[in-house]
Amino acid sequence: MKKYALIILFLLKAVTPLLSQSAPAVDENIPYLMTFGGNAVTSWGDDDFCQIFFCAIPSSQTDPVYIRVYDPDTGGDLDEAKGEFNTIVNFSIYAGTGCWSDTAAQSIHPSGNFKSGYLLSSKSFGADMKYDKKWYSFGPFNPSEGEFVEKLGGRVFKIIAQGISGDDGNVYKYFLSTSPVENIPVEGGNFFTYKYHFRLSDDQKSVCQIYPFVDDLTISIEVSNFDWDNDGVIRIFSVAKNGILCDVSGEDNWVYRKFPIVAEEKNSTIEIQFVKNQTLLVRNNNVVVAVRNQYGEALPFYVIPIGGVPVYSPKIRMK
Amino acid sequence: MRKYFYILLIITLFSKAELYSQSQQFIVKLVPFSSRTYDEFSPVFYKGGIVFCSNQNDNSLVSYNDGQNRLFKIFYVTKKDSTGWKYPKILAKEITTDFNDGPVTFNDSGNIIYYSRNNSIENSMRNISDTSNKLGIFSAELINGIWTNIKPFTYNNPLYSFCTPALTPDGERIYFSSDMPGGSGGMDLYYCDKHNNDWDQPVNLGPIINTQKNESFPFAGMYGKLFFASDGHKGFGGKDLFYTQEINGEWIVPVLLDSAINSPADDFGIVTDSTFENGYFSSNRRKTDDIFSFSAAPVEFTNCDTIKENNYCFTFYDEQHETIDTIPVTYQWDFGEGIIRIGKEVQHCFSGPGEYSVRLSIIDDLTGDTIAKQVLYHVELENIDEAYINSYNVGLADKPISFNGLTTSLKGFSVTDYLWNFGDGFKPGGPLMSNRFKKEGEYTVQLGLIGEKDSLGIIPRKCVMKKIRIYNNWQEFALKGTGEGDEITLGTDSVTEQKKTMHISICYMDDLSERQKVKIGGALEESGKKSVIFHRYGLDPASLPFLDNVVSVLKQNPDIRLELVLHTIENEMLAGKMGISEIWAQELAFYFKNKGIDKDLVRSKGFGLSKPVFKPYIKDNKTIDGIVEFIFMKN
Repeated sequence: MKKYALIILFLLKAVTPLLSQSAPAVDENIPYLMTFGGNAVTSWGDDDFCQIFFCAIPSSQTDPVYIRVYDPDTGGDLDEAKGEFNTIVNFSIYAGTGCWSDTAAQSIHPSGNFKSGYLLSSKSFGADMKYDKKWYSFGPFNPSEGEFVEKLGGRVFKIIAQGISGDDGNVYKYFLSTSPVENIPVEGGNFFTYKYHFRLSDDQKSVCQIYPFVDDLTISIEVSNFDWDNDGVIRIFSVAKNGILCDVSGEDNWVYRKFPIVAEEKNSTIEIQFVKNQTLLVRNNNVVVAVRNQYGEALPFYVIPIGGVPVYSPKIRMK
Repeated sequence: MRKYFYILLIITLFSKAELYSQSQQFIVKLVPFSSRTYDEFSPVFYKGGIVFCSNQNDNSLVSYNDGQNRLFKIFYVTKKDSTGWKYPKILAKEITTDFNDGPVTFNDSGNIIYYSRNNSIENSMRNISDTSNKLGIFSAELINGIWTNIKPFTYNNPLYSFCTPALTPDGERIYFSSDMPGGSGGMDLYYCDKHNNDWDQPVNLGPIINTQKNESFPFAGMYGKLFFASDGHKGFGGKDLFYTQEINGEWIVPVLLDSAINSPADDFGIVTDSTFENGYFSSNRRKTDDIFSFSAAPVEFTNCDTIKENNYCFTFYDEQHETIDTIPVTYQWDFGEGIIRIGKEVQHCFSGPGEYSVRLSIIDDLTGDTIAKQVLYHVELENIDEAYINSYNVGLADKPISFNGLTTSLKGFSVTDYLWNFGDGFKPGGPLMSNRFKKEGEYTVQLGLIGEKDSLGIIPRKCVMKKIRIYNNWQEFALKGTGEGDEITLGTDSVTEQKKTMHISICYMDDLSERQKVKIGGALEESGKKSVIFHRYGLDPASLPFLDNVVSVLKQNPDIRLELVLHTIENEMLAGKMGISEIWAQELAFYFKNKGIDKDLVRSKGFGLSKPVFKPYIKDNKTIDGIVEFIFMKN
């Protein structure tokens, strides 16, 4: 276990120059995270109206931090209205022991004690122009309040965005900052989640990607996606995979596909890439993605890929 | 000083002992007509006998004699029976002078002689101590039994010696030795090629052959072998006999002949049969110059290995890609020198052993991004460690086939003797040999190699064998060879303008590896339909994609050549001589030549006229009037 922690620490150290702690990260090329109101239908792209993110703060960070949310309300130009905006989404910040380590917190389907830890701050947002296209800051939080996770080399806070009522789609972004009024990154900080709910770009040329981390115990992964609406292709890159196609979901359904993990891929990041349909434009496409290992455990998606973006390394042979 | 002398003597003795330790491949005997008192040397074959030089007495002639130095005359001796010889006599009075005559060389018919003699033969010059009367080369023709029309060699020069002439078997080149300026020192070997019935300017054989000392007594054997004597190359002492051979315009380093032939004395003036099994040479190992006969001693090799062909063709692939799905990416392989191949698995043939770099780039077809950029793969190719016979493995009956042992790759094995077995036992022959197989059939050729003695005193031997398939003609080969292709094309008979339907057949000789066959076949498929169409004025452009693919195959595989064979019904002959198939064969050959393919790599032949074995048949309601065969074989 200690060895595993050292590897993660090393890899985290390796990416510290990447200071941009927004979720989604710029390099992911994902416009927004997405959570629908509690009364929405899943066919609009959100399977459970709840998104759980974690932010990792290195032990070296002792000054207060802020978790900022962009466009937290559900109204205005960015959000997706189903009739009149009537949606309330709650953002809650959790800390303390169990906020990450409780298995329910890492579950793909939020149930049981997924709100583990203790609540630091909570606020619900409806259609409020005051917050439209604006940043709202939770905090200040003392980093030491986060759950200490040795393998991550620091403290972890949990952010739950949950659709309380209504049927509209709320799109938003997070930023981990040292300032309540501007986005000043926390050096070495990162966001991660076990199930990624996000909005795709409407630009057909846009390609976005997310980065699950594969640990050394993983021998296979199951990549699942929900409500992709057949909007192009989803494929996997890694040091040993050069764009293997995943099965893609259509409207309001999950699809799953398993892939073997080879030795070179252990303790490394893989890339799941989303290439939109080049002939038919699908607007406001929302998708949910999860990756499990052979035990059914969810693998974390880090917004800043651990160890960097994977580069395929062909094994040239001659016969 | 004395100590130094002894050290030198010991080194010299050991050095000689080392050379003497070479295997003796020949049995050497003094010939009966060689006298104990006089000198005899430089034998040559002539009309079943031997012509040689000697200073022995012949009472039929009045010759100058100073009592110590007898003059050399040209003698002729014939066999009395299987073992005995008649008494030697002067070859011909008309070419005998009162000065030194010989050595000699004859053309293949024996009616032209080239010989050395003193340039001036005036009686007033009869002072043999006068070294100013240099040797020159002269020629004569045998007309009605008389040597007439005696002419000096074009390049004779009274200031320098020109001597020991030797004609090649085809009479198109003459070798000789001379001390004229511009050489390496002493006597050097030169040759002149015949051009328009005259001899071109002398060409020095160069520093690989000529040394600061003396090279002389050339003998031009069969298949380009040149034997000569030298006291400048490392040998057993004095003059020693060597042979060399011109390969691709370069002379191979002279090979010292067997220790039975060479000795610490002067050994020179050799003549052999075509296979270097029997012959004669001169030596003063008995104090006076004598002629010895030699014959190859039987040599046996056991456990001849079958040749393993070096393979320079490989399939390149990405091992990781192979295990997973087909994905929309393009694999681009850069083999250098502008050769780019596209595909998840590509085949490439390297030119030979060496170090190569292969770079792989993987392009994402969906986004155009480069997934992997110029990933380097290092390839190091070595030849198989084996004795090797480089030759065609098919040939035609009664046509010479060349065999080359120089491509042998044996680490730590320094070859001293090459022995060849063409079915009648191992015989010495040097690295290059040629042989004719009289009849159709399969033959085994063996190459035996003898190496330098190792530190334990063991003389290593290696042996390989190769199967040779002999056909009566190429047509027969094509019909028996492995082939593929069943493409039909239309040809317009350029004489009658009658449409002809031809069948294209791709054939591979057995000397190509399966991988090479697959590679060629794949490359030819790239052009789509195989098609060769002729018009009255040449090839139809529709033929070019296929023919250009053939050009690419030949350019990318310098070890492959092409034999084109056309058969078709001949309706009539053009210009009274050429049939349609011959004309079309020439047009195809001309096309390849224009595309920069060496003429030796593409040979074409139309058989429609001479061997119309092809019988028309019906296919898909069409009459097939002929066949065009593309036969790929190892170069």
